Amino acid sequence: MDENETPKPFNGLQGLSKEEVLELIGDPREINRSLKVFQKSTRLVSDHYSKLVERYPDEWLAVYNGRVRAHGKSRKAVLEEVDAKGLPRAQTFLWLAKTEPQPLIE
Amino acid sequence: MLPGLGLMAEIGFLLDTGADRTTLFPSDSDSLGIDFSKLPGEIKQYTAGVGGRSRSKTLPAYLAFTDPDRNVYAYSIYLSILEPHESIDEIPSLLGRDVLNQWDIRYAYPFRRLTFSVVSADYVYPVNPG
Repeated sequence: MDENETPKPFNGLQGLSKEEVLELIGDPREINRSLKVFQKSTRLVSDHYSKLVERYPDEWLAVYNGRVRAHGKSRKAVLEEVDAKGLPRAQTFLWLAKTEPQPLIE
Repeated sequence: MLPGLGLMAEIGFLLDTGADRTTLFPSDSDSLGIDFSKLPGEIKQYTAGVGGRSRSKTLPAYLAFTDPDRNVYAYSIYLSILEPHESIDEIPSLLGRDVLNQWDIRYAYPFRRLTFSVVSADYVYPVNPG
């Protein structure tokens, strides 16, 4: 088998009914609401990309509910600040404001 | 949603039509407190243009997307999770063809616009049923 080939389906989750999956992922209204909040953060970055890079060069930014709530050179330190402020990591968008974006494929 | 870890989180993905599979990079897994060494399953070699060669584990996951105020689209996938390494520390997580193959994607860079139309999904839930 190729090393990147998708493994054979076996995990105890395949074939779950629509209702069973709904139990796992939760109320669609809550997902809709939560993703809207998250989108405020991703939109802030996409709409103000250049300004954010200029203001926070090569820093990690923690964006929550459309606002930069923590920033710093170290991701670990930024996450500690996120925790200290009582922000939910799972709903916080973490982004690195690279002045010279790392080439992903050269 | 990673049912095996009881973890639900929002992730900002980089869309990668070159990636076979959706992949969680350390920039996200680390912040979510995922300890690679404690993940179940066997370690595999992950090979990709993005990320180079890294060690990975694969876990069942559900990805949910919204067409705001209309539908939630959910996909049952095998999510690759990469072992943290300095060389991939700054790379965002990738949304791969396991999901993208089910969408009609329009990339209009002159207008700075990327749009998706869902062609198929494993599960569809209306936001406001009835």
